[in-house]
Amino acid sequence: MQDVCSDAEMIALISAAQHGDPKAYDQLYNLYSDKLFRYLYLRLGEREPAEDLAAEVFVRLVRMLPHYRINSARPVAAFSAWLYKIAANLLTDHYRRQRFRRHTDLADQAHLAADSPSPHQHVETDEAKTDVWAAVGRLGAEQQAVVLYRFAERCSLAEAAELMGKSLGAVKALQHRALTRLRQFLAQNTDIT
Amino acid sequence: MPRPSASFEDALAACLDDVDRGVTPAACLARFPEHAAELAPLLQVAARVRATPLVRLSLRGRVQGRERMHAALAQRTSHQGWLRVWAGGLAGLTVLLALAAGIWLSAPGRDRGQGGQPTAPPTATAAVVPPSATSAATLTPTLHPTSTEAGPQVTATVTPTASPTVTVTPAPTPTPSAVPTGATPAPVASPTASPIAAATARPTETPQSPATEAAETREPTRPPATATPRPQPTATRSQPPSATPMPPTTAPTLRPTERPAATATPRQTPPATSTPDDDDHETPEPEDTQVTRRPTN
Repeated sequence: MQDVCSDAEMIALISAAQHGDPKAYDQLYNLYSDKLFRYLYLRLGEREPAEDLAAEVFVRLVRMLPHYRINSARPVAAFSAWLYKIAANLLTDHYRRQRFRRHTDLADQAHLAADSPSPHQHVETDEAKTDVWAAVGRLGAEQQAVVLYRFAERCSLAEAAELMGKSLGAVKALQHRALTRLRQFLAQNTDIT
Repeated sequence: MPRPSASFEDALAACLDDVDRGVTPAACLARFPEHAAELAPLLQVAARVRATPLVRLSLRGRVQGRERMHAALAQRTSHQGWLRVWAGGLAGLTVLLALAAGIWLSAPGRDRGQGGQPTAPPTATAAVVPPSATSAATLTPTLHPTSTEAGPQVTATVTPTASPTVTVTPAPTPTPSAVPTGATPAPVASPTASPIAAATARPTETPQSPATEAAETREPTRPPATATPRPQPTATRSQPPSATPMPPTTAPTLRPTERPAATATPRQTPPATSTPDDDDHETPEPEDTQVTRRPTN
């Protein structure tokens, strides 16, 4: 994974943060804020909630880091996986709240059904989107993740497997299917335009 | 080097890694000629994704996220600080309490009735002395702490007639040994006025019932009411004394740890002790005495 310090540096950084060093938290924020935002943005398709959830990840980090056990064998990969897991849990909560809102407010439900675009449509209408990311947004969650880790964050297969909690073979298969579908989506977009 | 046995997924992964290391796509495809036709478009897609600018946090989102993180950090630090303050305060308070308790327990001449508990079960002796001048029976349990501690002996005298927790009823036949003459009642002390039965002295029984409170063994003993009780009712007792012994009632509750609360000494009360009750039942005025007299059988 690019832009991430070495294992020894990461251990020192996590330890300092666990002792409440604000500078260590700042460094962790600089290392991971964009990555987590991209992950959330790809899943949500909207910048504002993605930024809000990305900030919430670091709030959770502050609360939970004192209890985090450093994996001395793979400190960077394990810590990254832990952070992405926090983000995934926040996404789940976010979806649950949205579903609850839709079920409790029929007017909103009708409005959403009629007007609200899907997440990938959000990506298409966002200022920072490209047709590539719009196509990635149409993938399934796991395929999105593998594309994000492998081609955006430049993770190795092993790192992606660690982040996703899957085997190397599973990640290879996911990568294959994701690229195949992405190719189809991009071809459709090209045909439309 | 071509690897014809490699599966397509392995070939794709290897090619992607090679391209990531700077190998040209053509060179990768040459390594897997059997998959080249399928690999080529996928490598193009991967290259396109990699070439796409990455979305990033906006400046506002970055600043707000950092501020929220630092606010959470400050809150956590503050919370931990308060926890430390509370822990320190509790520890200090505990030490102070322990010191105070130690000083109080080791104070010479300390009255054990003030809350100090003997290390060994004390014994209590409850003596019912038939009154001569008044009809008030006197429950005078004496506590003899059997501990090795050389603490002061608890001496408490309680007159049930003077305490709202004890009612004295003269009974003519207190014990087999006590032979009341005629209508001469024997004093019977029974708790009727208070739910806390502080002391009950019944001359017809041997009050060997232990006081079970606080796991203290007390042996209230009463001297046999051999003396013919001749209560002389005071002005508050207009009814004839009862000759019926009271049914078994609550054993005297003797608390050697407390100061004798009620002290209403009859005129001929021998020096007897008792610790029947709480401080709430301190000696009331004689007018408050509740006296129950039961008819004599």
